[in-house]
Amino acid sequence: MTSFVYKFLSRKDLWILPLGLFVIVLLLPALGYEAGFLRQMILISIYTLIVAGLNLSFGFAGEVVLGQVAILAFGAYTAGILSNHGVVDLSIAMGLSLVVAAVVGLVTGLPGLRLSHMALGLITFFLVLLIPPLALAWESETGGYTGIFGLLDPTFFGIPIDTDGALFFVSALCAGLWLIIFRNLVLSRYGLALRLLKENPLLASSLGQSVRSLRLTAYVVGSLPAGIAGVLFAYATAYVAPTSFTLQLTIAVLAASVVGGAQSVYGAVVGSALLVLGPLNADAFEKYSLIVYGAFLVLVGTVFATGLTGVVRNGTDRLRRALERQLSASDPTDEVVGSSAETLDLTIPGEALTVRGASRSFGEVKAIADVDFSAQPGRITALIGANGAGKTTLLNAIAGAITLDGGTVELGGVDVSSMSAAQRARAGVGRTFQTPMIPASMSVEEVAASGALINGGLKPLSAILRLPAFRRQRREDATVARDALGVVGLLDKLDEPASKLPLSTRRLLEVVRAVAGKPKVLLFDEPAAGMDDDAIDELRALLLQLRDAGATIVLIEHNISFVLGIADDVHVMELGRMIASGTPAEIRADEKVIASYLGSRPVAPAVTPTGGGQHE
Amino acid sequence: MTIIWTGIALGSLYAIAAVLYNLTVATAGIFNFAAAQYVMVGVFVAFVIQGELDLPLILAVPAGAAIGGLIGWLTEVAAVRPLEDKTGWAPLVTTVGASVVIEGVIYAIWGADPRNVDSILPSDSLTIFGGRLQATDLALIVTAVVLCTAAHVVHSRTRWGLMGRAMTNAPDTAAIRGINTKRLVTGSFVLAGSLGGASGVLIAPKTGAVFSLGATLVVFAFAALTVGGFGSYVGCLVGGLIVGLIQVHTERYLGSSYPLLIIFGTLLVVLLIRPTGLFGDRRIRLV
Repeated sequence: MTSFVYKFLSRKDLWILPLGLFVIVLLLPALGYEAGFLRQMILISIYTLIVAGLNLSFGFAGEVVLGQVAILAFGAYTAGILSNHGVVDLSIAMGLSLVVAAVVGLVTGLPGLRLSHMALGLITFFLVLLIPPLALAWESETGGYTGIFGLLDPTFFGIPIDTDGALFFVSALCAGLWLIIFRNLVLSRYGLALRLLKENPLLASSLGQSVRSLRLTAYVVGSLPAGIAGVLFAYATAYVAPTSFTLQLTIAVLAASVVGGAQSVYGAVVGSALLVLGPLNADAFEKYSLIVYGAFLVLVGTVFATGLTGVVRNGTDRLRRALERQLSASDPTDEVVGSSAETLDLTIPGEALTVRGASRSFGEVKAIADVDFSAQPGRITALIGANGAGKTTLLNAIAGAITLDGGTVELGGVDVSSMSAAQRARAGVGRTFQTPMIPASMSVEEVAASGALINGGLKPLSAILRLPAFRRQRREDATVARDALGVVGLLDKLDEPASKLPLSTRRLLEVVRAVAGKPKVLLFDEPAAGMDDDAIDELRALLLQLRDAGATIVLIEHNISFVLGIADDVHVMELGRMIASGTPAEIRADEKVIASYLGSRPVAPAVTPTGGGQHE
Repeated sequence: MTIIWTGIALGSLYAIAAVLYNLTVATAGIFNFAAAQYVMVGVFVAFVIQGELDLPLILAVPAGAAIGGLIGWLTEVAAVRPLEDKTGWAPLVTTVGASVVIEGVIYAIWGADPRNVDSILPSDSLTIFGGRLQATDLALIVTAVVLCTAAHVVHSRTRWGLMGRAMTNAPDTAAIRGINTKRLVTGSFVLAGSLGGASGVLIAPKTGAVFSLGATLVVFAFAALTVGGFGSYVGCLVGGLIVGLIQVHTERYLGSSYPLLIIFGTLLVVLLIRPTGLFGDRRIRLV
């Protein structure tokens, strides 16, 4: 029994369940359900479209969008106005409403994404308030406050849609198709990139992703289903008026998203069903619905960040792992892949990195001044110095996370100084962060696979259609991820939530992610910080293996015995300047370095509070 | 000139709301969506004191400040403090939630009908520079100017302001340097709540007491902040006045359905061309 449950939960083809459910739901009208029930199902389908769109932009990309109801209105008015002109085919109305939704998305998204997170949220909130004045300003077509009445008996590709059953069929079909598109989109490189973005834009760009285009596409694509929903809404309620598109509905939609689980595909159905069938629709509760929706937002936002589907998913994951342990304990032959580090045939062709005359000031503080620095392939180049010496600033300047006031950065003879961080990542600059950035939602395998994103495009269309090219890429990425994980012996943790790992393992995983794309230079920012001796040994072995594989490695580190033991070349910084360069032995003997950093006893790293703050 | 005074008075209302938002943005780097609801609560405090309890309206100032401050404090405790990451999108969702709860409570008690509140000031109108304006409007303008100036001076000249600027710049460093960042965050929420609650007495006669006031005010305050520039109190005043003037002029010359559209258009253009607004702090853009 346990082994059956375990096997069932580990299957990769569980998508068959929702698909089967979808087919059954489509058949409901044929089973002779009454109109009242079907109308509720139509509404659930409509809300599913809206909420699932929101889940893409909000749940996966981390953009708070409050304007889904406005897009719904634009879609509904498109259908209404077309019907006034005698066009009642749903397919035409939907096609046009997609265009309208995309245009509204672009017009609000381009400016809205210029300022931090809340700008898009407020602009889209504003958009909902604009519906009544827009309807009034264009009264000849929209019917002003009274709206457009009598939207009845549409057709769909010429087929008459004259019963609730038929309209339900079309609504459920649209919702189901969108869920399939949505699922295929997020379970792909594109979805991986969005989750990096949600964790931290800096992380997404360090893996070669253009933050701007990711944010914009997620927002615009997330608006599209709301446009479709608008057309269905217009015919389901038979009229379009500004009073339908309220701020209250906006909040209800957001609440449905977070309650179902914003970062999930099927959570949209759960949230929408609760919205339509839940107790809040009873007249007695209508008065308190705002309070309840608001409380949901606060509660889910602060405590149950994963929503209902997340709770279920965590539960099944836990069950599966518990069963796994139980099974592997009773059946030792069924060992999962070995957990000790394997030596794989690894090549990482590095390139020479050369920095000339780099300078950067923050206000009055010269974080780095006229710094020359170079690192060669097949060598570990260490960068040491007290806090505030400018090490991380230099690293950020190489990675393109900050721009230089002066100086150049060359990689393999190519000047990358004018490139953005994302472009540099694609040109071959890989990095880790001082504080590991591991997205909360990712498994160990996904984190490693996200490192492969610096090579090749996201190809969202190919992912939606699950084309052969997509499958090939997915296999390649999985191989890349597993190869890289094999080096550090993490293959037995593939499916575990990466953010739950201990700090030293997360640091190793960051190194793995940076290595997976085989960049031309690897920048490691204090990878040994907070590691115990065992983990440091593992890290040392990994770094030496990478070096022998031909990688160009730049290492910032405070653990002096570790760094001087492993480095081939050492550069020492003090107050933004390079004060010494040489082999570890030369550096140990250098009087300036001893005075500035090492102190009279060679191993004690002195910390001088020079107060550089975050731009250490 | 009368229309200009009307615009300036309306703009002053937006400037006051913008200050409430800017308080948490400039000291804690958090956009507190619920801030406009503190004004709405203040307006209802004024209504209850005058319309239901028959007490002198002036009592609405201390009562509004106390109740508003309490709600501001509750917002921070319930919707912001439990968050691990206070800089990204999370506080926007939870403060939207807080905002809706506040709105929902008022709606559950008093419903959707607007209530009138009479001003404490005489209803005579004054003539200044050839334009007429009501005494309440003048009080509103004076309040906005004083509030923005005072906030600007505090922010740029005093210890409290320095701590706030240090915190928006680098919260960890600020904490290490001995700044009680938690108290600073809470303080900015309580202050926003108190000011919003106390200002109800001036705003109530102009807008009436209606539960949806906050939801409208938030977009005008946001427009004012964007035009003026996030992080700047001078920006709040200038941005508020610009938005107010645009509103009255489009209303007069184009009709009542256009002000929101024109303000929205202005907002988009400003964001495209100059996302930091007129006086904005470049760093706040990254928050």
